[in-house]
Formats: sequence, C-alpha cells, structure tokens
Amino acid sequence: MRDFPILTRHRRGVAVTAALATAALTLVGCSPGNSGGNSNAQGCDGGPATLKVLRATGQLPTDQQLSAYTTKTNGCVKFDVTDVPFGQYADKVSVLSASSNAPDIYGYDMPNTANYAAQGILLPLDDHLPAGWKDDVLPATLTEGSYDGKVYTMGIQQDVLSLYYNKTLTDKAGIEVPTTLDKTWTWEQARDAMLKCQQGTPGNPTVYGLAPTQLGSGTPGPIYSDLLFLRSNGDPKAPKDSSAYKTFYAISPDGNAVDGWLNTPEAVDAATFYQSLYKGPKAVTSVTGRPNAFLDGKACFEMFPTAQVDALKEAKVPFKWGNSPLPYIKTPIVHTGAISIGASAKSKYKDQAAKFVVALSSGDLAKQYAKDTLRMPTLNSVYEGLPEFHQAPQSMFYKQLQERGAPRPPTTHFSQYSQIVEEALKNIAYGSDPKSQLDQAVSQLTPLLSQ
Amino acid sequence: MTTMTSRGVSRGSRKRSRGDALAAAAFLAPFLILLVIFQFGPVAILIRDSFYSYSLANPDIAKFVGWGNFTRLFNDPIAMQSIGVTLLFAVGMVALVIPLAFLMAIYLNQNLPARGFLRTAVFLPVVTSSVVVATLWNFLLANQGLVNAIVQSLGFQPVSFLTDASTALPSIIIMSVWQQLGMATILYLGGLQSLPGDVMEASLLDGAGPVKRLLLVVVPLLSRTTVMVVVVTTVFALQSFTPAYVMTQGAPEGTTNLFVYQIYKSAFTLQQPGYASAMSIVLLLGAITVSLVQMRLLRTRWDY
Amino acid sequence: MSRSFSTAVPDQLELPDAPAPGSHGPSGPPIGSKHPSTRRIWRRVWTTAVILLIIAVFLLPYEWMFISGLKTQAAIFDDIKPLSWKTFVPLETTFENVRELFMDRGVGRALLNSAFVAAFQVVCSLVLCTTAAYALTRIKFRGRGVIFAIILATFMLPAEALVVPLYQLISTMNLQDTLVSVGLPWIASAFGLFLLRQSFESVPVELDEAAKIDGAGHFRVFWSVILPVVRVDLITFILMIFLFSWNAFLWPLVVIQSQENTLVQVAVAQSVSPGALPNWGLTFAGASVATAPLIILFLFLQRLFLPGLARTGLK
Repeated sequence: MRDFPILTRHRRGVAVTAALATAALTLVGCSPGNSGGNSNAQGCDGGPATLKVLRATGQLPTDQQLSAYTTKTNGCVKFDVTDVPFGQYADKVSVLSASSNAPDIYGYDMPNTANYAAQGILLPLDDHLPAGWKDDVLPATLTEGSYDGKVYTMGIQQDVLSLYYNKTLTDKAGIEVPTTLDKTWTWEQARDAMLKCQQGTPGNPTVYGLAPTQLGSGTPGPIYSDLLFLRSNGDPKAPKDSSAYKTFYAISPDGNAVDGWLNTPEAVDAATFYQSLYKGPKAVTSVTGRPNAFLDGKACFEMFPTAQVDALKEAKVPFKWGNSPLPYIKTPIVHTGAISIGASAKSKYKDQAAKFVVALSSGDLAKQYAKDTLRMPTLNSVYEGLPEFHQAPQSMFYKQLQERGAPRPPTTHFSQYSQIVEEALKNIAYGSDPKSQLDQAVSQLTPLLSQ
Repeated sequence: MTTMTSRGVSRGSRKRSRGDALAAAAFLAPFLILLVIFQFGPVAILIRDSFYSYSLANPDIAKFVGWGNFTRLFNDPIAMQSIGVTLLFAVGMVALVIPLAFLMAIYLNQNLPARGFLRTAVFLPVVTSSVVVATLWNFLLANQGLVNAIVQSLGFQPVSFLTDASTALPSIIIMSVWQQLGMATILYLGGLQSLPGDVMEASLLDGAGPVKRLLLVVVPLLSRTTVMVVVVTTVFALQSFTPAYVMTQGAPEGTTNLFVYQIYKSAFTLQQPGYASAMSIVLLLGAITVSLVQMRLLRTRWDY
Repeated sequence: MSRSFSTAVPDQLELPDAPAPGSHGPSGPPIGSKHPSTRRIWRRVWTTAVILLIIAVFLLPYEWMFISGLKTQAAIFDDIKPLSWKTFVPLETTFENVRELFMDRGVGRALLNSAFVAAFQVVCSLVLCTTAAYALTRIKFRGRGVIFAIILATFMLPAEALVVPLYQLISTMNLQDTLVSVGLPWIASAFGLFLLRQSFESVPVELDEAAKIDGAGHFRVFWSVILPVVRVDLITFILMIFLFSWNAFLWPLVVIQSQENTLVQVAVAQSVSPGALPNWGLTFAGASVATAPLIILFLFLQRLFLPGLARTGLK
C-alpha cells in the first residue's frame, strides 16, 4: 500500500466536486417522457386497453380474475401484471405512482385507502357504483374504502383474525375451547389456557402456548393483530371525551392526533398485559420464534386470518384443529380490511380501469371469487347466497366481522402510523417500558400526522 | 541543420500533443460522462432535495424549507439516537477488529500446518454478501438457533441476543467483526510481510522477549496499516444497512437503528425523502471526513 | 516482478500454500529450550486448539447453513436441541427446499438476473475503466491531474447515501425496474480505474515507444501492447466487479420493483423478512444458492481475489 496518489489530490478534488455538483443541479428536473398508447378499435367500448396492474405476490387481482375479465370483455381489456412482495407493497406504491410507468390498477391493503386517496393516487368510483351497493356492503368495508365522502375501493374480500387451536394438544391438556361468539374468552382466560397447554419452560418452551407471530414481518407488533390488545381495552360506548372511548379508536376521528388516544392509561395497561405474553413467568410465546410452529404441531394456539384454514387443509396436518373467536380485554374487536383493488387517478384508461374494479367487486365475479376461495365476502347478498359460509368456521368468521369488525385507525398517514406503532409494540414485546414506548410513538407521530 | 530539426520536432510534437488531447478525450469521455451523471448528479440532487419537503408520490408539490430539514434532524431524538448507535457500532467494530486481526495476522504469518486453508476460512465471510451473512447470523443467534443450542448444552439459559436491548447491538457488532476480520487480517499480513527483516533481527539480538518485541517494535511499525484498518472498518460501519434491515428492523428500542436504515425508512416508508436527503448529506460529510482524516494521517506517516 | 499488485501484497498472499521462509516451526525444535519435548507438545496443543477454534468460528456456520438447506424445518429444530453431531449432518437429505426455490419461488430467475447484471457491469466497466486508465497513464495532456482528482473524489462518496437521489435520476430516465438500471450507475467505477491505473503504470513506457516507432496509434498500443501485458490484473479486476455486483443489496432493493426482475440477494433477504412465512430450511437453501457461486469462484481463484480485495481497503 505504498503508492497512494489520492493523498495529494483530494483538496482539489473536493473543489471540483462542488463545482460539478452545482452544474449538475441545472441538469435535473426534466420531465418524464410519455409513452403513447393507441385507441380506437372496433367493437370495444372506449377502445382496447392494456391495464397495468401492481399486485402483491399471490394476492388480488388473481390471474383467474384477470383472465375471466378479459374473456368477459371479449378481449378488449388486457392486463400487464407486476408482482411485488407484500411486505414492500406500500413502499413501492409511493415510488411507482409518481413515475411515468404508473400502474392503472392497484391491488393494495385497504387501510391505505385514505392515504392514497388524499395523495391523488386513487380514482373515486362513485359514478360507477352499482345501484343498492351501499346497502349491501359491510359497514366497516364502506368506511374503510371511503375518504372524504367518496368511495375509492369497494372491497372484494374480508379477512378476519381468529384463534386457531390444536385440538389434539388442548384435549390432552384438558382445555375446552369456545367456538361461538357468546363464549369468547377474555385474554386472561386465553392466556391461562395457553399456559396450561404449553410444554417446557415459559420463554423457551418446546411446545408454545401461542405460536410466535407470522404476520407482518414475522416479528411482534403488526398493527393488524397486536394493536387489537390496546383497542380492546377501550370502550366505544363510553363518553366521547373519556380515555376509554379514545383508547378504542387509537387515533382522533380526523386522523391527525394520537396524543391522548394511543397512550391512555388503558392502552398502557393493555400493553403491559401484551408484554406478559412474551416476558416473565406467564410467557406463552416468544419474540424470535420457530416459523410455522402451529402448522408443525408445535403450538397450541395461533392468531391468524382466515387463510390458515386453506394452509392447514393443504398441509394435511396430523392433528385436529378448530377456531375460536379472538379473545378480548374489555371490548371484543377484530380489524377489518384485506387486499382490495382500486383504479389509478392518473391512468390513461380511467373509464376502463374503474369499470374493471367495479366488475370484480360486485356481481357474478365477486360471487365466483368468494365461492372459489371461501374468503369472507364484503357483500351481504353474496354471503346469503352461498351456503358454504353458513357452517363453521366460516359462519363464526363472518359473525365476528359483522359484530366486532372495526377498520384499522383511519388516517391519511397510515403507513407512517403503522410503521411507528408497530415499532413501539415490538419494543414492548421485547421488554421495554410500555408507557415510555407509547409516549415515544406519540411524540414521533404527532409532527408527521399534522403535515 | 540544427534549427531545421528543432523546428521540425516542435511542429511535430505540437501536432502530436493535439492528437494526444483528442485521443485522451476519446478514451476518457465515456467514463467521465457516466461518472458525472451517476456520482455527481445524485450529489447535486441530494443537495437540492435536502432543502425541500415533498413526497415521492407527488414530487411536484414540493415546499422549500431552507435549513428546516437539518434543524429538524438535530432536534429529532430518533435520528440522533440512530447517529449515536452507528458511531457506537463503528467504535465497537474498530475496537474488536484491530486486536483480533493483528493477532490473527501474527498467527497466520507463522509456519503453520494448513495455513492457506485457515486463511481461506477467515476470508470466506469477506466474499459472502452481507445479506447472506445477516440471514445466517439471524438463525445462529435466534432463541432456537445454533449459538443458543451451544449455550444450553453448556448448561446456561438461552439468551435473546437480538431482541434484548443490552445484547442486540453487541451481537451485530460481533457479526460484523466476523464478516470483516478477514479483510483487516489481509491488510495486517501485508504490513507484517513488508517489515524489514533486519529490524526483527536487531530486536532479537537485543534480547527482547516476543511480547515486548511485538508491542515495542512491530506495533509502531504497523501504525500505517492500523490507520488503514480503522478507516476501512469505520467506513464499513457507517455504510451498514443489512443487519438492521434483515435482522432487527432497528429494534429493540432503536438500539440497532443504523443510520442508513433510518435513511431508507425515512425516504421510502415514512415518505420524507427531503428529510432523508438531509440525513444522507450528514452521512456523506461523515464519510468524507473519515477519508480526509485517513489521508492526513497516512501522509504524515509517509513523509517520515 | 511483472505484476504491479505484488508490490503491495507480498507473494505469500498470492500463493497461500507456499511454505513461509525460515525454518522455525512446529517441526523444528526451538533453540535454547530446556525441555524441548514438553514445550513442543504444548506448542502443538496450542496450535491445534487455535486451528480448531478458527474452523469452528468461521467454517462451522457455513457448514450448518449448507446442511440445513437440505433438511426440513422440523428436522432442523429436532436436530439442534440437544446439540449433537446430528446438528451438522443431513440424516434424511431432502431436496424439497431446493426444488421449491427453483420451481415455486423463482430463484432460478433471480440467479439469472443477478448473472446478467454482473455480466453487464463487468463488460461495461472493463471497457470504460481500461480506456480511461490508458488515457490517464499513457497519454500526456493538460488537466490530467485534475481529472484524476475528480475521479478519485468519488471514492469518498458512500453509495448508500446516494440511493434516494439516484432513484429519482433513474426514474427521470424511465429506467426504474430494469436490470440495466441496477448496474448502470456503477459501471464508471473509480475503484476499478484506480486498480487498473496502478497496473498500467507498471508496464514499461519503452514498450509503447517501440510500438509507436512502428507507427502504431493509441488504440493499437492500448489493444496490442498494454492489455496483453496486464491480462492477469484484468482478471482480478473482473473478479472484483463481479463480487461487488453479485453482493449488492440496497440499490437493487430500491430500484427493482417487480418479482420477475428480482436479484438473488434481494430474494434471499425477502425470504427471511416481510410476510414471507419464513421456513428455515428454505431460507438456508436460498442463502446457500446465493453464496455458492462466489465461494466456488473464490476457492479456485483465491490468489487473484486477494490483491484486489486488499485494495478495497483504499476505498
């Protein structure tokens, strides 16, 4: 390492860097080019179109749905699909929606509706809604798909958490698990059962009471499941200025304030309970867990959405299993919202895109999808028309949705809210002080939300 | 005759120098153009963006905020913690890499059986991608991972390496040391093997014991190499992203929230690219400072 | 010495198996020792212990990774607690993980993408850096020093700090989510140029002068005189660019959106985190597949890698 010419050159180098930097400043900012599209072909309403779809891998709209729609339109509407990993979908939307290559159709997670609508990414669908749709749809879906009085997505499916249990293990431990809403466990009861069923030392068991989470990034804290602990310790029927009421909503109605909503005494209590599932003598799960512990028969219980039913059937697991309604602390609650589709406000084919979204979210195609996948429908008419949904566990899932479903906290800054609250919950699970974590999340979120 | 020749030569050399300039331009242009576009261009954009507040979804609606992003940065406890964590990470790495690499180099510099094999082993992590290293260590350090299996077979309680606030940062420091040790060892080996033989012999004749000889003779002679190892390790630490992204997501309590990860999160998840640009400039200045200090130190040594 | 790199990296580094000079070693009795046999035994024990420690710390994790890629997740967990020889041996080898990687998870595609990007980067860098290095070492012109300083200044810019603006730049060019965009920003590599410049400088000027007297132009000198002399260094250069390209992570993560253009490192990272229901066996298999090409290359071409890697220290 003898010759090292950079030694004598760096000063001038830096000066030139600066000069070039200023020169290059003037270079940037050119506008993206437009790729031309052709229209005007006979027989197609509004001309043939190829819609660009941005989809989370393995999610909506499925290839089947797309080809069904192409057939339905006699080949007038075709699709060009880009798959991105679910965990990065929100990041990719923010990046792609501004590019010249912006998609026409988004298959996104519903709580982002307000965010995307406020940013002008999504197209309002009100002009295209079928008659009577608003009376048919689940109220929580309508709330979640709307922003500022307009509907931006109609929802195709609903998902709902429940407590899966390994009946072989719970039977052995002598535990009777409730399967109907009226007998829903409180979290205290549930934790005792988990503890009873667990094998090995708490914190490092051989069979978990509760399977380590598989949601979100596979670590504790996802809003979808874990914020429910906090909200469940609130009460929507309490006076509107009470902290119990605010705890239930976890954000102000306008979506701009979290102080006094997210860090209430009730929320702190709930977070302390949540922590006890991970730490201490009553720990029933683990922060870095064995993935798929429930499927492997190494966990008595697991919190998971409806999709696990398919996975369990497919894996042909060697144990009996069932579903129990999600436990609660004071108020039973489950989060609504699943992947849904919306049309881009920046699309060249706005009309075709909107029609596509409406067609998939209602009528025959919606019914067909529910029938094929047994995912919870968003339309009451579909639910009534399909006998498959009137038996366990689907019937219990649907009842949970109807009676206990609430959207995730509505805000135009959902991705920030979700990121920061998840971090706080994760730290709590890892053993940090619940109150200071929630306070810190509040102080971090407050400036972001007011922007 | 002589005048003729010299005129001829000077005309010829002028012609050649013009031809040379053209050739040089042709040979250099492609490289320089791309370098300016993809290195200096982004720096320029970065500087501009750091004065604006905007979102990636709607970059056209940008608000000029002056030094706002920078004042916010220095008042943001999360960002300041992230800078602190990154510096601690760098210091921890340097403190471990220097002695370990030095000893390893001394060890490998002997006549050993299977020396080449050992050197390959130590060097393997250097050519392994940071993603694979992080993935592997994520499982090594998990509650049910290999390290805890060893810990338990020795009769101890398992340790939550990556989720306990007191062990998470030390864990990723050790992982990164494992990853970078080979690099530092190679640099020290090069240094050791370039030591003049008579220095060693003279110190032997003085009757200095091996430890004393190492400390008093070898260490000072290798100070140039040490500076280099410090810089390589520091720059590596400042640029680290993968451990936070793959293993910890910055948790617990932000103790592993490396600065580049905080920049990534601010830009793409929290939707604050202007703010992220201001952070990037701080990182840029930090890295440049380290490089300048290196040059300063190495030059002084070089002049002695 | 014909190789310029050898001035800084001594021969022994390049020839890892060559015996070191000097006769002191475990085989020869140390001079002046009172109990030569006891000391020799202790020394041998000590040496063996350190060797075993190095192997345990540096090679065992790799062994565990490769082996676990051939196990089901259940087998990995069953074999790890209690710790035994089973932990490191695939008793019931399964290629199911590898099959799933290639058939269902598109890792084959990701490997091809990574290979394409690396090839693109290597070829372009080779052209750009050799020509630029030629101009900077063989042609005398005004401003040469300034230009070299400008280039070296970019050494100090951490790529990680430039990701956000680089992404904006690439989008303006409408290149985002293309494989070319992954390599393009890095092909004018200051590090590569620096590596080659040293190598070019070691070629005696007399060689070009002789060629020029024969009437050769710059391109002829570059192509027929310089390049053949430095060809071994060019291989080191290629290996280094390949290594950087293959192992890059943050930039591909940002610039590539679609699954079909994913690179192998990003694919591995995604199989561990965000919502992928990680399966240890599958993740290990993915990590193994992503690492194997480089490890094989490194094992065979180690002596060409080391001088280049030692130079990254200068970056």
